[in-house]
Amino acid sequence: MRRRKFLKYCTGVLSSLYALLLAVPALGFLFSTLKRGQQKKEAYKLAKLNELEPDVPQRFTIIDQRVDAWTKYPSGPIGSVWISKSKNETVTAFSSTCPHLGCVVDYVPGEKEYFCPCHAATFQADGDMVSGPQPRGMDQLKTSIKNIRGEKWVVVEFQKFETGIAEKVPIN
Amino acid sequence: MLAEKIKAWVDERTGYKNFLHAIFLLNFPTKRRSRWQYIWGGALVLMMLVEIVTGTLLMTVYSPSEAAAWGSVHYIETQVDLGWLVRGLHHYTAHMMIVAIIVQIFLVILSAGYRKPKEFIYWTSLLLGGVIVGLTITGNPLPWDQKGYWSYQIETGIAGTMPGIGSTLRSLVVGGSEFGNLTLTRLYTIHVIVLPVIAILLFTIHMALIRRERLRTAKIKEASDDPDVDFELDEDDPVKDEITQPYWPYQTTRTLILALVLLGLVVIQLMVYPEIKNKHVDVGVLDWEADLKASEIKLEAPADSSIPFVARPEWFVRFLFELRHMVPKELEVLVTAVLPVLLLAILVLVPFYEKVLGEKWGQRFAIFVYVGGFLIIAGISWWGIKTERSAPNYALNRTQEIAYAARASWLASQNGVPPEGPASLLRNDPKSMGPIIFARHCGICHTWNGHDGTGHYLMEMKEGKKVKATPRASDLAKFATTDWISEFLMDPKANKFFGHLGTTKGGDAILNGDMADWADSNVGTEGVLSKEDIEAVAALLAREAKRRDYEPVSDEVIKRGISVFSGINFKDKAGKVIDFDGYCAQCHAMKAGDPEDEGGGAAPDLNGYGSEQWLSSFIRNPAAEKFYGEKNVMPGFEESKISQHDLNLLVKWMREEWQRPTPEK
Repeated sequence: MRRRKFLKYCTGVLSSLYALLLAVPALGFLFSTLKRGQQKKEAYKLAKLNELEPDVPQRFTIIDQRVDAWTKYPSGPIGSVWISKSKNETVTAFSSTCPHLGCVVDYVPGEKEYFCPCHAATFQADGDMVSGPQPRGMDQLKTSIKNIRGEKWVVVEFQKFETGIAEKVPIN
Repeated sequence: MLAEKIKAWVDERTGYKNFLHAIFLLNFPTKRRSRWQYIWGGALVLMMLVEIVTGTLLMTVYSPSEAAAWGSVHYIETQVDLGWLVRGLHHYTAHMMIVAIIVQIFLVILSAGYRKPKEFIYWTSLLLGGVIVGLTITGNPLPWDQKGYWSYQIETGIAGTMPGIGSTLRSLVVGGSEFGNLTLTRLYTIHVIVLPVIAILLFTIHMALIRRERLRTAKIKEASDDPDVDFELDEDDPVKDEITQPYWPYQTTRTLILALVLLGLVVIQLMVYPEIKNKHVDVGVLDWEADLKASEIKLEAPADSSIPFVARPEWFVRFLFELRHMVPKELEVLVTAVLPVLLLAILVLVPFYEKVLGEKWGQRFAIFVYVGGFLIIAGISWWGIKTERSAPNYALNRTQEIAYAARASWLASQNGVPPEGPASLLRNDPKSMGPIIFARHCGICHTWNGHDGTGHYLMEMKEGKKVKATPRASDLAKFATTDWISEFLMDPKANKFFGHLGTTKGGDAILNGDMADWADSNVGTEGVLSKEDIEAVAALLAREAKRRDYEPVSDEVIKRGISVFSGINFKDKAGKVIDFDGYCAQCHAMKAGDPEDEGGGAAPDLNGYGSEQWLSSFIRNPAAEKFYGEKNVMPGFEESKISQHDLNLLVKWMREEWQRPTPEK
């Protein structure tokens, strides 16, 4: 019965080979999404500095082309940011995405607070937490001032962050 | 051993060993002799498993809609890791399965596997083969490229000619009378649910029948018994000498070897075939240069009924397609309905031949019919492919198709697929649409490097023979380049330019008009103008076009051109300033060559000559005052004849302006 044992061994080896032939492309195929979608931080010119009212945050929509797998969409809204200017002309920008579960955060002028309508997350004007279920303050975005044809423009580096965790981790 | 203990513990409570043995036929009795003959069925099962796994993977990306199908398959091929391998395995294994089915049925007939009591085993295997053919036919159009689209047109067309149920069947499968989104969703449903479920049901019945047949002759021992003895046969069992070995591990090893060899062939094929499949045509015939290497073209161009493609069916239904062309229209139904049914009947009825002819001659007849039928079908298919490839325009048409495929893939990689669908990649591309628009609107009179833009020639009947038609107007390839203009100025009456205008009513006024007189008196050895003068004025004129292939010339040449155009400061061949009465500005307006603003007027305005603007307004209305005016013989192409979109594409193509790879620095 040694022949029989040998053949059993052969069947084992050959079926592993067969399984490998299927498993390798299958895993590569399924996990290839991990590599993808590494969007680079894109800077957007959003507002003229002198047109911003001091201490009143304003929401600006980010318009850009969007690629979804094989489809490339023409320019359209891909997100929005809150921009505010202090009296001494420093500009801060927050992502309008709530760090709790990703709803869009509003600004309540009377209270001078940001307020997320989904689960009542409340933030101070400087982005710190006031009350609510959110794990961290609002996500601040890098800003810079650029001189374009004699006018000062606010440029914001738009980025998305993971929601629901205490650390500010960019997606991808 | 702990593992053994666990196994025993689980087995006591589940009986899984017997279950596995039952499912995988582990102790299934098999014939000892000619064992290599009985492994094709098992290999088919293993290949089907590959199809199921790769198919499921493809389902995670593929999207069945007109706007998304092509893009998602292109995405699989170019973006997803190992996507080319998964799709290649899925595609080529399917074709390998059809080959295996052809072999398997032959072997079954050879070993009389249809003989009583195995008729139903045989019939279920035939049905399974049919389902697999159905899976291949419904799978190929899913990428919604030209090849899949057109071959499915043919296949549903064949189905539609069936008497009685044909048209209903066709619209049921197509989802209406026209191909569209519903065709794809239906195809997809049939391909991923309906046929696989039928196949699994048939397979279950098939295996149950095989078990029953074997168990009838052999008493299979329980798996927990002596591991070296799998079954016992009665002493008086007629097959006692033949059946001695269990399926596992004897047949499993062989089956796996065959399956791996076949899959190895599939892998070799999927790596090598794309490279060689277009070797028989010389890519790049005429102006159809492809943007990608043949091996990088994974898909034909996106399905588009307005872009030419020669429809070809899959190789295994090719013979029906060829036969359909061989018979007169009234007999078509013979080929599309009667013949397939007859072929099926021949196969299905094999068990009954023996009733009539006796076992020996019944089997011989079955083998004869099968092999004969196979050879005839193979012959017809081979002949069909050969005739197609030797057809006069085959190389040209195929080159055009490959160029479109390459262009679409390249554009999709560069720009992504727009939301409205992949067809717009080519429809908005001057390089792809220009030739077609030119052939449709301009090619009746004009030529492009001698042909109609697409490489074809306008034909006409002359003395009962079909001959290349004589063009009626000028050849427009490289229009408004320095070379084209100089050539024209040297001899406006040449065949390439005004030569054939005389055949058109009123054309003589241009053919033998002022331009011809001008050339007669000023050009050539007798004339005042030297070759350099002509080239200088041609360069000056070509500058107006702002073509991308314009090579700037020195200021000196431009000055010389202006002197010819305006007659100011004109120097003759000896270099002496003379009074030149053949200057262009007398008749033609062009600010760049006319410092004294004479303004022309009698002949076409040359301001911006050959530019997008100039060409567009000229094509729209060549009879305008600033162009040919009363002398005009060319029909105007208003919005109703050619849309602004098409006109832009045409003009851009004539000027060779289209998206190109950025040259590497």
